[in-house]
Amino acid sequence: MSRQSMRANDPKKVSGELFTLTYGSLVAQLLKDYENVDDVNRQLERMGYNIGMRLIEDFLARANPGRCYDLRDTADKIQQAFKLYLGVSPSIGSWSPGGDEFSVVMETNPMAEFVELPEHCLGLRYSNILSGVIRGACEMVQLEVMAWFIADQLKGDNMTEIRVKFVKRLEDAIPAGED
Amino acid sequence: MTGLIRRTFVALDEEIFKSLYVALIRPHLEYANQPRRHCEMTIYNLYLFDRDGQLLYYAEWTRKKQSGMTKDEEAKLMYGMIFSMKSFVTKVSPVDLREGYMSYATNKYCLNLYETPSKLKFVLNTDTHAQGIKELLHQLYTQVYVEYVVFNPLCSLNKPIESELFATKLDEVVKQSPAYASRPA
Repeated sequence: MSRQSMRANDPKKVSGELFTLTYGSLVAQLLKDYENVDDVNRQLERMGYNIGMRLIEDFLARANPGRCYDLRDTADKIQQAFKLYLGVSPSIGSWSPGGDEFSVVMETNPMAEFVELPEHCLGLRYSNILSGVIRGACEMVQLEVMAWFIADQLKGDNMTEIRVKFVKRLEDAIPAGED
Repeated sequence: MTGLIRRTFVALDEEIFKSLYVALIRPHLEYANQPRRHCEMTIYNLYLFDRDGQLLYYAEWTRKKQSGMTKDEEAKLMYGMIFSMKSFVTKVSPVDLREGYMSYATNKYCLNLYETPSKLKFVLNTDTHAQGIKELLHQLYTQVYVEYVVFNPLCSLNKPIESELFATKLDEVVKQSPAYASRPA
């Protein structure tokens, strides 16, 4: 998805609206198939996770960032990635005192542009795919994080906010023995 | 050989293992990779490892002497050596290694390692005169791996790469690089 929608001056580029509507119909289909918003939330997160695992390689290849020294570095990179792939510049803030938790705040959410949540799915985290992407992408660079939505414009909040919490660093794999 | 080390030294901590590795295994690899005497400027072979040390892809161009062991064993040795060298280098290095690029040269060949932040490892053996390998490795990652493996939904990321398109493109990029082309006729 990102490959087509984001590549500048690419003839294969598609309009943002098509992307938004495609995502919308995907969520709608999931709702039909699962009939339960919790399952849909989970499914979206999983899809995002799988996307993130691949997307990170593209991000690394394109932005060629160095390794991050601390979580603030990481937050910067996430901000940069939002700009690259979604065309929005979220702000980073609300750091926890320990410095292991922060928020990604979007003024507008391009994925939810034409969306209004009907009453029976108020529990739906419409853009939950994003938290999955963050988790998947970070895991591939040895950071285990948790990401979840704490505010969503679709639910009447005045901005969309994703909370990211650092869990642990994943270590290098040790070569397998030869036995 | 790893097995031998493990069996012989019962109380094995990481440090000892590392020095044994360098002492016992590296000569093997050097021997295996030894090119011919009057060396031309060229690229010998490439290993691509995933984050778990699995060999994803192997390709060779000018390799005149085979190591005489299975590809699996060879890959394990290679990964083991890189792993221990890397952990050694990170410990003794006065500065943080941010770039993920390392290389060493013997008088016969040069081993270049590029490790992406996602821990993918590209190992390219060239002769000692080859230039611009760092750029080439980066190019292999961005223009070949990302394009033809990551963007190919049918290519699983943690299995050896079987895509023929990937193989063709990789070969193309390597053959176009100055390091490959600059071998004397």
